[in-house]
Amino acid sequence: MRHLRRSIFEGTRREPLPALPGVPGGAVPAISVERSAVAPVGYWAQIWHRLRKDRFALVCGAWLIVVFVVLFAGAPIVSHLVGHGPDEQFLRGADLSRKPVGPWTHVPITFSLYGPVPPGTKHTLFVLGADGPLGRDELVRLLYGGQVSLEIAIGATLIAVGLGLTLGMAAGYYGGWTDSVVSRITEFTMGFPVLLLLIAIGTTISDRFDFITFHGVLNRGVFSLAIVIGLITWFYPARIIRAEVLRLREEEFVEAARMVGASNRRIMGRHLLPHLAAPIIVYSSLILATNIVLEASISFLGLGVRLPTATWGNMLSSNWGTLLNLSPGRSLYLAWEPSFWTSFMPVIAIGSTVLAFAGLGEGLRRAFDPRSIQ
Amino acid sequence: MAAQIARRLLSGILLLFALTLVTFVIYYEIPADPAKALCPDCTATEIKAIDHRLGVDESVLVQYGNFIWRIVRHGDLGQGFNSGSVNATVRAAAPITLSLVVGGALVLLLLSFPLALLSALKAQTVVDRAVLMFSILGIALHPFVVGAILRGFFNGDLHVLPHGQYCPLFGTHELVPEYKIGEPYPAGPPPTCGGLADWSKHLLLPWLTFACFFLPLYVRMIRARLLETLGEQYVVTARAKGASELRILRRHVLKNALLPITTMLAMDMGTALTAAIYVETVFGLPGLGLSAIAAISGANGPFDLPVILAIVFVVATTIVVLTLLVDLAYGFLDPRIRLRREPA
Repeated sequence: MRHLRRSIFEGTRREPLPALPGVPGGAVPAISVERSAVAPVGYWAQIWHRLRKDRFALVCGAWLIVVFVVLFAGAPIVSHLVGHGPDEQFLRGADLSRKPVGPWTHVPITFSLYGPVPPGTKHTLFVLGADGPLGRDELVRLLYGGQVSLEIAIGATLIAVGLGLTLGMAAGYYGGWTDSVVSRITEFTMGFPVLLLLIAIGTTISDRFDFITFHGVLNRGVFSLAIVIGLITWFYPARIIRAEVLRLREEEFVEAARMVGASNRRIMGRHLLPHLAAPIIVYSSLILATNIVLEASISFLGLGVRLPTATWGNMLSSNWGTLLNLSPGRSLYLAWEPSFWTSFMPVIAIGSTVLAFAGLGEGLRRAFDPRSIQ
Repeated sequence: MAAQIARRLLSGILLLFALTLVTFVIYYEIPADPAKALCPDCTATEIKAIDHRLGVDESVLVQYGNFIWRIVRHGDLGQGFNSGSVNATVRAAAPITLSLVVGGALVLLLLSFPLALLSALKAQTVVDRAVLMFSILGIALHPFVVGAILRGFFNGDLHVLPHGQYCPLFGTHELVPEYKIGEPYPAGPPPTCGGLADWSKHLLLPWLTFACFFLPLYVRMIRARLLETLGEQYVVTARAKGASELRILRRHVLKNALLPITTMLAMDMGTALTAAIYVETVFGLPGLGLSAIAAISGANGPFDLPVILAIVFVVATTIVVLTLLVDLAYGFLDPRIRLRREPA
């Protein structure tokens, strides 16, 4: 019997998938050991099939791949081609009123701010113009800044999902006082005005974490920001996973596993965790989207990654000023005149990436659970 | 029912304690020396005297105990390090944030509800997708940017709305006249404003900015609720009886779908303060958010712990009270929940 079954699976696996694989059971396959009419379609194959039909999610996914490749592989190449790095300042990158130059400008490399440029001076190309009064290259900063922003967002999401998964699963599975404690902590985190917590943490502990870079793998300040953002966003996945585990633990397969003597740890790891893959993947992409915006929010507080290291958040906030050096009742004030481009570029970068993560998340949600209406 | 209320009240009070205690401890960690900042040239004994007057020479727990005792015994939030009575500060700032949050929540419902209805009735179509993406745009652009764009367009380009500042609903208030740097300061008495028309005109853009911040979440949530309710048996029955779609929506769907939204609104008050900080900064409204920022950044002197604590306390109390009220109201509005709870 066992031998026969194996040969059925092997037989079907060799078959190419039909053009439109339906859910198994739609048509009863002819029982034959060598060939079967309908190949069984795996869980992940079904999801991929549904996702493939969702054109918008595919566009979002493709855009994200482009963004990642351009940021992580493209940044050094672009920097090499134009011949300057993200933090290099050029005197002529801004005019006399310190208004940054516009896109596609050949900036002379000179140490004099005034007067005509002597003939024969070398020029360097600013593809998207300069970023501000210091005359740094907007494009190169945008690329390197994107790396930092995405590292922070991904790191924070890993922390938030890891914490949320652990606490949510424990609360949902064990119930009782574990659940009460976790639920109270969740309420506490939800009720706390996030911004005030951020300011407090940002001004106290981040100094100690800023220099942890894991031997230069991460940029400076990434680790502390990722921890801070992760610590304030974990309650969202925790609540979702708790609700899911509460539902799953009453299922028969859990009962069966317990009956054959599986330990709690084994049930959680082997039987519950695979069922949680769907919500984890979906919510990770949605949380990633909000974390990118949060990084910008923290930069608006003036507590983000320290300058001159660029992030999308501090490139945006340097156009508007930060919150913490304001007096009440006065609107934002800058000592230089920002150009349209210097806020347009980071807004487009943040906006399109956030939109793509959110769109992909929505598509994944539909693909994982087509009947879901959420 | 009484036991239920008592339990909720107890956990609410515990939450209040936890929130204020954590705020206290975290901010205690921030190196700040209020006496030194208030009086830079003082001698050590004078500094000690000021420290004693401010009450910062005690240990954290004693200070926290004093803070709680003052509230319980006298309803007094204490004295700011340099801003006088905290009660006065909060009393001046709270109406502004309240106007912002209540009006913003109304605008949010007015915006999110039609959008959610549209996308629920046209579920899984291009319209649905477009509504979702449009609402996500509100969060993809930071409230700072949304606020600045709105202000630039309606105030800078169209000149139809004021650029900021607050007008009280009751009574009048002097405005700082708008003028550009380099031009002479406008002569004559400063313009005053007040009343419903001025109030709403000045707050319209802040409300919109505030609503944009929460829009995607609410659109999605209301849409899900509507779809869920549309699939209920009683809706199918109503449809089978030949009720018109409009009647079904009005009589059967809306009330049931909208109930959970009230809970969400109450729960989001903590986040609302975060949003309020940004909105108040962009539009220069001196509400709780801006007061908190001023207290933290030390805009008027040293970093002002009592003010921050008071604001966290006020916001946390609002959350606890609102959640409790909504929970109670819920039982009356939806009998199914009351029945389910009573045997337990």
